[in-house]
Amino acid sequence: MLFLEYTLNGLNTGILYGLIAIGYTMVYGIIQLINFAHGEICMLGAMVTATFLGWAFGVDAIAIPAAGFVVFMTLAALMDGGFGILLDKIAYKPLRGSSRLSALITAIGMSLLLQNLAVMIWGAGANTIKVPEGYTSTAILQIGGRLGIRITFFHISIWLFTIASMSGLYFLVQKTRFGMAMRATAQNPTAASLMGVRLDKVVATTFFVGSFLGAIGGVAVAINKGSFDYQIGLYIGLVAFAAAVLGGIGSIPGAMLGGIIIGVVEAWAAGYLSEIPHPLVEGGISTGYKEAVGFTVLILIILLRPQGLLGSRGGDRA
Amino acid sequence: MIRSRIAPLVLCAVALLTTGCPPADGGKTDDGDYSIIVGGDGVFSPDYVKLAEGAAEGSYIITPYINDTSSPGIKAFSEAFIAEYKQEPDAWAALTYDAVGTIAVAIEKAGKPDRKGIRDALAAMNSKETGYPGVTGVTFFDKNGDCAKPALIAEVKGGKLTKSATQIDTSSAGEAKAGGDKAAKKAEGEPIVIGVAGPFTGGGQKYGEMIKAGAKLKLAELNAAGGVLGRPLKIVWGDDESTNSKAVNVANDFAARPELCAVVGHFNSTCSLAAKAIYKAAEIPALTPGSTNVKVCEGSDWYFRNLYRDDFQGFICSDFITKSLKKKTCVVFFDDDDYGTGLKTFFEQRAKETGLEVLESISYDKKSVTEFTSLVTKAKSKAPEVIFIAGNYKEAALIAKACKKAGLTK
Repeated sequence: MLFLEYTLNGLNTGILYGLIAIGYTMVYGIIQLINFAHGEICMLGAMVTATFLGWAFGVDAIAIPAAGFVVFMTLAALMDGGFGILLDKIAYKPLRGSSRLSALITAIGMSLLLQNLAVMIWGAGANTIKVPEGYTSTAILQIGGRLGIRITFFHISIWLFTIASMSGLYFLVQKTRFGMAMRATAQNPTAASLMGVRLDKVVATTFFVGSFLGAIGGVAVAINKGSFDYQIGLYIGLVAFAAAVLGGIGSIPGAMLGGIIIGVVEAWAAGYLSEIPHPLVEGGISTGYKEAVGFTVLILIILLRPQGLLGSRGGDRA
Repeated sequence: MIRSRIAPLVLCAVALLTTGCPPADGGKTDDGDYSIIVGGDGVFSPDYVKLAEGAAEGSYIITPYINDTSSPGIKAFSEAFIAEYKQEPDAWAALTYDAVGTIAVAIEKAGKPDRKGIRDALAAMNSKETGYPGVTGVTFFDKNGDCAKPALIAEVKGGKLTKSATQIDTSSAGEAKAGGDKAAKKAEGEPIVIGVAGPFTGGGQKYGEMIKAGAKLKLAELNAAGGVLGRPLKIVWGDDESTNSKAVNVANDFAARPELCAVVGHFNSTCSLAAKAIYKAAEIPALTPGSTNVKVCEGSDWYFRNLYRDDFQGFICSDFITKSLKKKTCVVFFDDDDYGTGLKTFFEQRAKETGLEVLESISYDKKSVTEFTSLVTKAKSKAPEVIFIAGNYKEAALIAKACKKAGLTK
């Protein structure tokens, strides 16, 4: 029973890592760039959502209408998609065709720049995202008494959103003409552009979709955690990047799978690390290492399968 | 590929939605009473209540100071503070206010802004009579540089930090006195410079905000009353962002300023421990208004503090749970830094002596923790009567929120 609850907790955080990891994996699939500023894009999504909700319903509002919450979050996510495109236009496009290392360094630079920008605009203190009454606390389903497993609207909504966005992405990439253009670009950008694919449009769409999902992921991570600040993108981005690599960078289902694996392993670590006896410390291994366990699993899997779980060795990405 | 992977998920979601049973009723269930949150003094901050959004209600927090305006000395300070900053002072504002006052008196006693002279003057404040009477009681030091001050219990009630009706038996707070009864005259000449170090940005920003506010208020009062030795006092700020490496930078920066004669800070124990050696080598006296780790003043004649240590705090926390709340089981959440582990160690030691059963000690790393759901699930599986938090207000608020979501607290 307890095991089931840890697994469920892990699944809930894992799909959020997965949503964010999609942004890394798609951009890498198209232009072979590890966009280290993606974590900050997610942070901006959460910041903008909090700001919109604050404007609309007052900073001290305790409960807000559900419709308003959805509308403003979507607005913020769309805006964040725009930030993603802007990021590409300003920072990465001028470097297209130059060495991959300079683009990578630029990405790290943008990450720092966006963090400091966020401090200037929103300050360094902790922020919270207001949610509709009972959104995260009212149990839709309660198994095993007051202290049992509790499933809330929040959980149901992130599950449904994940299912919908994964299906949508599958349809976009595999079934549409535009998706074909994306896949062609991933395989060979030069040949694709010779065939009439407009590279800039493909890249911009990729950034938009990744940033949009990242913003929703960022908001959900902030709600799940309870509060957030300008640094939230740093660590979440790192975990999501690990998830993308674990699942096979370039593969969209892989990113989700990687996210879920890391989330579940972290949750198990939180639950069972202290059961493992420590030779020196009474009370077993510290649960403070729970985040480290996720990365250990990443290393193990990469050792056995360097291309990641669902990754391919060749160029068939996106 | 995708379809086959998500199909089970869809089934799960549908199954859960259709079988949905009625929501759990509030109040008591067969799982026993709701748990009570007790926090160490790191939790004492108005932002704990604000960030926890209602989940903090009913928590008890140990603190060296409560803004209890029934005491005349505190009332004057509190009114001046609210007039200036539009919010109530917390413990760290009050302790910094007193720390700056203490340094000012030490400079007066030394007769000149001289580092060695100030240190000797501080060390000479070794009894209640020779100590500095401030809003947090009398500050005086033992030969180690430590300070014995009582601990109080605050309760979160109606969204505010109030003095709890249940207090543990420690001698009541010293008689608070309003400072600055000198005739107003103009301070002239070269300013006397002191440093104030704290987390002005980063995860402990609210502490820093309060420290700055407390220091500025005392500075304004001192300068309005003729300054120190007839010269104006000036503060140089050092932001350590609650991290060791930044604390070392701040200490080196302070040490490199020949005109700087004393430091108020650092706040976090871990920062104080990191900066201690630099102040000792540079022979700058430092007075911390917040570091409670037992080792902070050890092995340095130059480091002082104006509040209790974690061994005392840990004992008080444990005794409060067993004697005042009359509870027998608890789960401990502790921050994996010098403050959290230190406080937890002494808490557990006292718990063992007095028969309070620590069911589980759960550590977290505030730099990387993404969420507390699974750690709270672990706590929940032990069904403790009390949840004790040895950490900072920000993470404590997240733990309180996660406990409420999990149905562990009301």
